[in-house]
Amino acid sequence: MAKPLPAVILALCFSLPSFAMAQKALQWNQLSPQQRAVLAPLAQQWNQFPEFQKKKLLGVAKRFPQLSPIQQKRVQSRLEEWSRLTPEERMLARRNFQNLKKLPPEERRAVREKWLRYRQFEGTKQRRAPLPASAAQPTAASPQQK
Amino acid sequence: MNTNKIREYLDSSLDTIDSETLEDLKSARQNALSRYEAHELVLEGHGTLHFRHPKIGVWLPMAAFVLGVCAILYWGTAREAPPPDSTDVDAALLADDLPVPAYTDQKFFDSWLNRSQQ
Repeated sequence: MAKPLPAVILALCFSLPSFAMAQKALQWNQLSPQQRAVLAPLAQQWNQFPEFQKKKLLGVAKRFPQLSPIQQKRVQSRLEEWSRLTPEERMLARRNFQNLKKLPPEERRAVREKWLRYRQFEGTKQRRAPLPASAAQPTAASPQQK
Repeated sequence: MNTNKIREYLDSSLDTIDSETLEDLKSARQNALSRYEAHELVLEGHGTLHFRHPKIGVWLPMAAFVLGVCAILYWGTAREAPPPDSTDVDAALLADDLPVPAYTDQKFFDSWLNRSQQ
């Protein structure tokens, strides 16, 4: 009578971690209608996300109602791109964001202008870059156009 | 008097012990044995733990195992859990007027932005 009890407890102990993991795994269909509405752009990928990423995204969904309509639109349009980043890239983005937040408001506003100029500058630089040798030298099969 | 001496005395005089004393010795032994069974855990003088109760040898390691599993689960969850304000950071970052690629472009932050601020 006494022997099966330790065996049962031992079996429970071994099954505890997997049970806990199963409890933690939050599937798309377990989300509330409000959470699903906010995170709709991620509906297809949601079940494949690691749990820590799901938790962070649920945090975003929680803050969502407090944002202005423009900000809400931005969040939803960026969710997919955000989720495609690696955890390291997301950490880098958070760090840069927090560093930028320390700037005075007028400098902070100027950063967007600087980003646009930077993008323009990088784009021009790429267009000016020499073409690869194979593309630059016309072959006999592709005569130069006038 | 060491135990060998006692054993010798007992062996040599065993036949001379009267039945009443033998009965007393027997009941004393039974009493001692029942107390011995009742003690679950005995910490001996030299500091070694001995499991006197047959079940404690199973229950104690099992309790330690359960505690270990709980600790692993707790620390595992704590490690995964984001810091309290990090989800706010995510929401604010995603809602910001600067797009996400700006924050992941270290070249922009390290050289271009710093240079243009000077």
